[in-house]
Amino acid sequence: MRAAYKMKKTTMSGTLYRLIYCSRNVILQALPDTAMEDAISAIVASARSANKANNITGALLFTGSGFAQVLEGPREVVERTFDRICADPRHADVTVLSFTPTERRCFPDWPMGFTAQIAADTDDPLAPLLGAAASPGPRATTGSDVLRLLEKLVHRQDEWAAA
Amino acid sequence: MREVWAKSASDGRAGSVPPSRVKPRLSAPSGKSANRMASAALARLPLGVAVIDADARLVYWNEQAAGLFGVPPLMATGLPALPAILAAIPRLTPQQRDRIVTFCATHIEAGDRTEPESFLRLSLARDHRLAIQIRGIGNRRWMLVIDDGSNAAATGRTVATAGGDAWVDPLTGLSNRRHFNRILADRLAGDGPDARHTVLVIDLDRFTSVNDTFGRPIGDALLCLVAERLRREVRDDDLVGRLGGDEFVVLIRSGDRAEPLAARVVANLAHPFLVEGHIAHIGASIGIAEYTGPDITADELMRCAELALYDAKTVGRGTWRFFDSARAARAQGRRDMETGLRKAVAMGELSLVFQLQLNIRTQALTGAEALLRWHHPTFGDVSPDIFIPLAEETGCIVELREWALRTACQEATAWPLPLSVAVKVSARQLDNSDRLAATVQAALQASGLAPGRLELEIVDSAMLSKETHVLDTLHRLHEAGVHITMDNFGTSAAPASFPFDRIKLDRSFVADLGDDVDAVAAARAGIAPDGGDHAPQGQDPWLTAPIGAAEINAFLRRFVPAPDNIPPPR
Repeated sequence: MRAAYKMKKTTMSGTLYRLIYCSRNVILQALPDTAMEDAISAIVASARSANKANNITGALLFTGSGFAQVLEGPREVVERTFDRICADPRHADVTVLSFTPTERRCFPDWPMGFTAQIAADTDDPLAPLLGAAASPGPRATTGSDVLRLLEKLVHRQDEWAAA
Repeated sequence: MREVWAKSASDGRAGSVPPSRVKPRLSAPSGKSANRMASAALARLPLGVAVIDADARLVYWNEQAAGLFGVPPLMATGLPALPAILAAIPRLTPQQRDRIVTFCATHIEAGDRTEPESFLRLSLARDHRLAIQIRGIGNRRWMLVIDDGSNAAATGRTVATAGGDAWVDPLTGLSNRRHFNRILADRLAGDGPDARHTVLVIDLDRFTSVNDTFGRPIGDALLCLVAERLRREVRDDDLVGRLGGDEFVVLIRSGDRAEPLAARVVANLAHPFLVEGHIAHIGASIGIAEYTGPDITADELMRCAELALYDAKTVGRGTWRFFDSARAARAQGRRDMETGLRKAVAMGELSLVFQLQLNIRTQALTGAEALLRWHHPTFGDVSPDIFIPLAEETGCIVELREWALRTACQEATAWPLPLSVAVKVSARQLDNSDRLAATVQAALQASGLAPGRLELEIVDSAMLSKETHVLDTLHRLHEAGVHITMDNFGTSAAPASFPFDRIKLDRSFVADLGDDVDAVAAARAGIAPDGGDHAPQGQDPWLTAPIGAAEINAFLRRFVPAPDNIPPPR
């Protein structure tokens, strides 16, 4: 399952930065579940090829209400990628949770290959970030919450793949 | 740029050399200085010269071509494709654009086997022709020589263009104001009557605070990102320009597309920006004006869009507004009134009327309040409800109030009874309390009015957050004998931080008391109900309306027992 994707140790330009943002889903909610999965895989596919070319890794979390994404890569590339993402009409209220230089990548093996989807009937961990009413259960309110959540999901997936 | 080259080199295509090496190859190979001279000459040639590669991407263009195409001398991202570039040429129809692309493609396909030269001539308008010559220059590169027809007579323009970035905003690579205006004028003149041209003027919100917080270089980088986001939102046929500062503009050939485009731009620019490691939040307001026909010029269309932008900013930013001619007329009227108001004192258009004040219980006259009136030669009598707020807003209230103070003191000295005269003091006057003190002193001196007869009315809200030196000034005036009254008491929760001589209730206070004079009196003895310019509904008919300077003299004379024997009191 896990793609063997070798990242270059040194980046061509710029310090390594990590961006964590979330945004509200404005179009996909209206779609039936199957169409939504197709739409998500289309987003992931285009992100994956662009990120591979740009030396970017990260993870995407999709919940019913919105997206949270971690992008890691050379600063300039992350900035340019984010700017392109902003133009996407499928989401709104883009909020940058954190944008900081970092020593190491948290998702070194994932050119956006990792995506997590929270089923619609479970508690939405992004709800408090997106301004919706707080729900019980796991919640993310900061960038590091989102990061921890995604890392946990990666870990779980690794275990599942090893089993 | 580097990435693109690396990619095409890996395609194994012969002649894939970086564009930086193209220019020297075009020149006579006789030393570096000769190369430099040749590139400079080529760059400033009064003909458009562009070199395309096998994918019809521009790898080189001189300044004249940049002027025609509206492309920057250097692009930040990749090589511009010819079809996209052609879209910016004024008056070029889609069919003509296709003809040029096909023309180039045919020559590229034929490779080097084709005849060495070929021409394409297009008629853009009555006296505007475009001639394009294509010629292979080896290494799978083709040179386009473009003559936009106006060339022969355009030596003046060529000289101007030779200055460098005459058409292009050097920071963002967008069209500059000059280029945008030219293309706008061309499109308005060249397109048929069915064409719907719409201008969207886009102004960034909170850009100055980004500049202040992060510094100018970050601000400049942010402007480049804004330019990128705008480019991404528009179509090839649309023209994006930077008018200057943080003001951008988009010209589209559609009326219906304007609003969705404005909505997208507002939404997109409201998203955060990542600029050189910083997070910046701005936003955008947009003014939209659609071309309605030959009765308006390109300049007027731009002004309409600017007016609409002003509207969008006024309603709260982060939104867009269409130009509204009725609203523009109102705005124009307001501006005329503002101008008139600034001249009102000098033109002698102001006058005073007096509202008599009496002790409700004793029915004794106590004084009169001076109220400003303005008669404009064309607007006629302008209601104080209109011109006073306008004067407050524009700041000329200080001049008006000072005039009222001087004039009221002068006129009161002529009254047959030593009544007090009240004048309003604006909050703006309290901002400069030293000037207020000096003005009061000068008015008293010039008129010879006893300080005890002058009453300054200060709105209680103006007392809020006033510094101690304002209170000091009021105390000084008070000690000199001038009375200080709190006006409009009850309109704010200001604590009475000054020992006022009198307190005037706001009319809303007294309205509830109706005709019950005793209740009014009980509220506070000796208070004159302040009905502003509308007199309170009292029992005394002569209290109902303010009266002019001549009338008040005649009126007061009735109260003087032996008018001939008593000199006007001092």
